[in-house]
Amino acid sequence: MSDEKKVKTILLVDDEKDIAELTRMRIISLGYNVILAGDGEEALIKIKSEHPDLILLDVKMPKLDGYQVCKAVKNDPVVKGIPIILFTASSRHVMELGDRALELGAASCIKKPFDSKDLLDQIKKLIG
Amino acid sequence: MTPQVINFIRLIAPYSFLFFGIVVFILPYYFLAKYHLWEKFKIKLTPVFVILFLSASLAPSVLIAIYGYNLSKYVLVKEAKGYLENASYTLSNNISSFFNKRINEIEYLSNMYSVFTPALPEADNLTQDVINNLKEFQQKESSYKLLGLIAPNGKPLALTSTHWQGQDFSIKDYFTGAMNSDQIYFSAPSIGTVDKQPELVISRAVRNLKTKKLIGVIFGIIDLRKVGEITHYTIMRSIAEKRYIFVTILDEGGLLLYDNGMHFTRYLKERLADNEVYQKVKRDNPGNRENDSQNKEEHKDAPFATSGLIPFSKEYGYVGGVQIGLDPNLEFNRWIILVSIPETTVLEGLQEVKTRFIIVIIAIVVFIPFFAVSLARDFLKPVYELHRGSEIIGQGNLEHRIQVHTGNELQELAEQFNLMADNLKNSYTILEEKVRERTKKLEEGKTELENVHNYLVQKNKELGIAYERLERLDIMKDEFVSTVSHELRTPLTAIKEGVSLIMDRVLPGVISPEQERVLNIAKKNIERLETLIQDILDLAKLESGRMKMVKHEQQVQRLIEGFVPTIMPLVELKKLDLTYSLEEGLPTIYADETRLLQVLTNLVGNSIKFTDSGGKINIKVRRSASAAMVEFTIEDTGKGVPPGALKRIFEKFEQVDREVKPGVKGTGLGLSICRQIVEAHGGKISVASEMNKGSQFSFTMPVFEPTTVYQDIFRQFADEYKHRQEKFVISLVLIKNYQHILGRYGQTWGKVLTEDIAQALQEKIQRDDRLIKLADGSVIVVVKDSGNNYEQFAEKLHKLTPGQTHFYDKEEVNVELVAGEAFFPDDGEDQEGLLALARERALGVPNVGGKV
Repeated sequence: MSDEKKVKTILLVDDEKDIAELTRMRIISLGYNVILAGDGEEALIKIKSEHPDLILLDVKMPKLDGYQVCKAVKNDPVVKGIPIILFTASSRHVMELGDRALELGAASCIKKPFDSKDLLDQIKKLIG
Repeated sequence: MTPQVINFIRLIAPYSFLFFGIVVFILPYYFLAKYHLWEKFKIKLTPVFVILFLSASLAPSVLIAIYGYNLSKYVLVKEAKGYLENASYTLSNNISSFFNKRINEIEYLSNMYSVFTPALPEADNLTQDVINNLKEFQQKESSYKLLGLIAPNGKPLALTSTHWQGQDFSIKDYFTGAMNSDQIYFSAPSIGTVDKQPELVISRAVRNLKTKKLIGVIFGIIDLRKVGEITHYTIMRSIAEKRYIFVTILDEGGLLLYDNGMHFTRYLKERLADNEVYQKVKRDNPGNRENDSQNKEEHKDAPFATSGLIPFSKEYGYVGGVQIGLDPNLEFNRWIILVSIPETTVLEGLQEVKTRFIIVIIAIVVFIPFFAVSLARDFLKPVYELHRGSEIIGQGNLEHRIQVHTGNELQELAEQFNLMADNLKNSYTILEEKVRERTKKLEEGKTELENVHNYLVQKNKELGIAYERLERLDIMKDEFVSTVSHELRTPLTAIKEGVSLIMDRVLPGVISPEQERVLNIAKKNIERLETLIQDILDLAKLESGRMKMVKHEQQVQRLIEGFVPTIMPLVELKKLDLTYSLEEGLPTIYADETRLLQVLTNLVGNSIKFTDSGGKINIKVRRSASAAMVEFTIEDTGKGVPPGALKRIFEKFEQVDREVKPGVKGTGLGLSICRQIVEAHGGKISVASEMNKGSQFSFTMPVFEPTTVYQDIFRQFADEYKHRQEKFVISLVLIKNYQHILGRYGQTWGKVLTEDIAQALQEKIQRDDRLIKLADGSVIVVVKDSGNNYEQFAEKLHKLTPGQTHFYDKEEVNVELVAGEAFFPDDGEDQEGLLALARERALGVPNVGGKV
């Protein structure tokens, strides 16, 4: 258990399965444990069951979007301490994203498609 | 005063009266006309006529009267003088005759005794005869006091009066004087020793006719009072003629010979000696006594002479003069006759002249006004007729005509007036007809207009629908582009990430060099596709105006110094020389940093692409010559742009490189994006180039100024809400220098604040004393129309322009305003007060400052 605790778990929420898979491969290479969720509902279930150390959240998703998930996490006293990085592909919402992400208590926001290096830097900064 | 001056005055005197007349009667006319006093005092024509006639007749009458009076006076005096001259001449002549007669008498006696008394003085009895003879003679002539014959020894042989007996005649000058010559001898006039009366003695020697032996001296003492007696006739005649002349006769020595009442002796003595005429007479006719014999001979046959009347000064109250008489035959000196008439006598007739003139003038004064008034009435009658006619026609009776039959210009005027009335009536008739016609046409036109109106309303509705559809299409296009690019990007991201996972050796396995090369080619094309998608997206946003410029105050130097290192790797790769030069004291600019860097990257990137190794690139920044702009110029020594492409170079998908340098890759959107970004900043982009020498790309960015910021925020705001299709109309107006602002910015945003609105606002602000005006009198006003976003806007405005804005409800200003106007005041002093007021108006926050 102690070993398991040492390896940090990251929840990656993205409805684009291909991209999620590729991103998971990239993050695993750094020595993190990555679990995937395909939509907002699934994400909330996994957050509660798995208690990840970091949540990577796509804004645009079916069922529940990134903002709603973010809001739900921050309103849940059990999981609200988990840092969240939001990302979106829509540049139209980039400006609002920044403001709203911070408003909602997200730690950071990244524009999609993201530079791998950029994402990894952010992850390292948040959970070491 | 010299006589010339006196003559001159005498000459011009009548004209001076004329001048006086002009001054008195004509000058007032001149001034009345000049200063429009007729108009000012509303003087009617009748009094004008009276005044005109009066002055026109009175002025010459008075002048003639005065001149006539003076002329009469002159004539009377002249006539009196002529009379006196005549009288004095006659008197002088008489005196001359008197003495010549005495000379003849003594000559006669002398001759008589030289013949008949050869025995004398021996015969005593003869003496008694002589005495008797002489007595007889004396009685006959009665001009002598005494006649006598004196023996050569001085003893009197015969005397007509015993009063002189016992006197020593031998010592008398008339005895000795006569003894020594054969001429008549005159003694000087003197006062007689016996009777104390003036006398004059004439004597002559008596010689025997044959033997020439001296018998004695015959003499006569002339009673000079007899000279006076001979004036009696003249004086009596003058009395008969009512002239009443006064005569004084003197001898030159001042001895009074005759005087009938006046004593001018003193005058004669004192003044006559100075008289020029007298001096001349004296010079030309020297007295015999002083003359030598030769002179006497010369004057022997000279006639009796007079000086002519020498008029004397008027100060005595007399008209008169002095006559100097002289006879060369007489051995005694001149006699002086002074004649005069009292001035009152002379000017007696003048009073009558005066009276007559006054009567004439009074008659003129009384008669002329009557004449003038009746004349004026006659002349004005047609004028009144015209006046009345105009009134009647003015009241609408176009049938009225004026009857004037004077035959002069007034009748012509009346005829013209009637003609005018005819025309007026005709015009009126035509006009009436036209109005009827027009009314009919208008009614027809109205129906037509209604049709047009309905048509236009229909078209407008259609246009509105079309516009809405277009807008919808526009939004759809935006959404399409956005969606497409998103959809394109997602798979691209997957490909990119997959390739980079392999290339980064994240996955286990070995990659051969051939595989590595293929992966590199794939990666390069993935990046190219990414750029292309990004560019399309950017351009679409820029064109639709949805790309938000996040503008801030930027320092050019910091910007350039930050930019250059990012591009350096490419520059070094191609071995180019990149320099930059910034003008001294550049102002800060107002720009979106990211976008500005995008422009710079694009332009410098182009230069790098088209410049061969060893070439130069220079970035130059300086103040623009024109408006408040900063100009960026990127110069290179590259291939240049073909002249034909210069115009199209900023168009979409225009790739010069295809023609110039095949193989150089680009999307063809870069310059188009640059233009959109520059224009979104209110700047301009341009290019100049020469083939194979290089290109120059220039663009301008606005200088950071409060005004610019204000305008920009407002424009963004307006655009945003326009896009959201909310009904939110707001306007920001700086009242001061409105014209200037209109000229400068009025057309920029397409929506112009009309003058009416500015006027209404200005009036409102002037009336509203609650408003705090800026030091220079300018005020910024925000007029709220409707919409919930107003307060949000107001707050935003507050943050950005503290204390320089006034907020108004639309109802307060009562004008329709449009979006798109925002101005800054030059500088505000009372910012705190304004801020407080603005906050209260805009946000309902109580005004803490208490300034309102």
